[in-house]
Amino acid sequence: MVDGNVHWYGVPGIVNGLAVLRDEESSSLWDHITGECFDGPLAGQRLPFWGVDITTVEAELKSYPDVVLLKSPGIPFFKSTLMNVVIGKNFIDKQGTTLPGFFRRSMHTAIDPRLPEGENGLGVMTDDHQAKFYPMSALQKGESIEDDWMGRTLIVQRGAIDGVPRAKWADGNGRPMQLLTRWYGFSFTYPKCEIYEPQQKAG
Amino acid sequence: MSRINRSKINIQKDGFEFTPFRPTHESEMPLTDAGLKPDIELIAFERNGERRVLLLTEMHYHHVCQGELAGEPYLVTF
Repeated sequence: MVDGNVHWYGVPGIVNGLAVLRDEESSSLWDHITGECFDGPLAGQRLPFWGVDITTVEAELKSYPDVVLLKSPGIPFFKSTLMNVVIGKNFIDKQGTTLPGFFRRSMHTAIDPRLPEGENGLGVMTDDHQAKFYPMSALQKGESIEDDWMGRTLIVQRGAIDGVPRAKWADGNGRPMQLLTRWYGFSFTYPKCEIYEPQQKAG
Repeated sequence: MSRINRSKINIQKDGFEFTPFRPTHESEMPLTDAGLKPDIELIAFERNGERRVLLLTEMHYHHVCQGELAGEPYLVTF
C-alpha cells in the first residue's frame, strides 16, 4: 500500500546482484529487501514489511497440515533453468553460488570480503538498518545459540526438520525482522553489518 | 541510498524481466494434495492467521507474488 492505494510490482532487473522492484503506477524503483523506494517519484517512501518463512514441505505440513499452496500457472523453461543455476534448486543447505557476469556488473563496489560471497546464513535487522549475519555453518541442524545483540538476547535455532535458522528474542517479545540470504546480498543491503562468531569452546 | 549506484542499475525500460505471480482462486490447492516430495522448499507467509505457501523454485523466477489474503494486500519477494 502506498498512500492508501495498492501498487502492483514486478522485477525489471537487478542492482548489486539483487532484484529491483518497480511499481506499475509510478515506475519508481524499490529495494526488495528493505521495502525502500530509492528512485522515482516515490523516492524516500517505504513499504511496511514482515518476514516470511523458508521451510520444506515436510516441516510445513507437520506444523500446518491444512496450509494452502499457491501454484504458478507456468514458467518459461529457459528462465527457470537460468535461475536454478544461479540460485540452485536447493537453497537452504547449499553453500556457495554462481554469480553471472551481469550480476557482478550491477555491483557498485567489490563484495565485502569478510565472508565467502555465497555463504548462506540468517540475516537479522532493525528498522534503522542495524543488522547481523549468522552464517549457517555456525549452527548444526536442531541446534540453538544465544547471542547478545542490540542490548537484548537473541535465540537463533536451526529447525530439526528443515534446517532453517530462525531468530526470536529471549524475552518472549516476538521475532526480529529476518531472512535467509546469501552473504553478498545481505552485505550490500546492510554494509558493515555485524557477523556472528561462535565462542571458542574451552579445552 | 549510497549503497546503490544508479549507473549500475541494470533494468529494462518497460515491463518486467520476470513475470510477477498474481494468484487467483484457481492457483490454490491444499499442500497435502500437491504430491510434492518432503524436501521441496517453500516460502510460507501469513496475514491475520491465514497461511499460504509458494514453491521456492517458482519464486526463483517470478521474484514477486502479489495478491490479497484475509482482506489485506500482500507482496512476497524473493
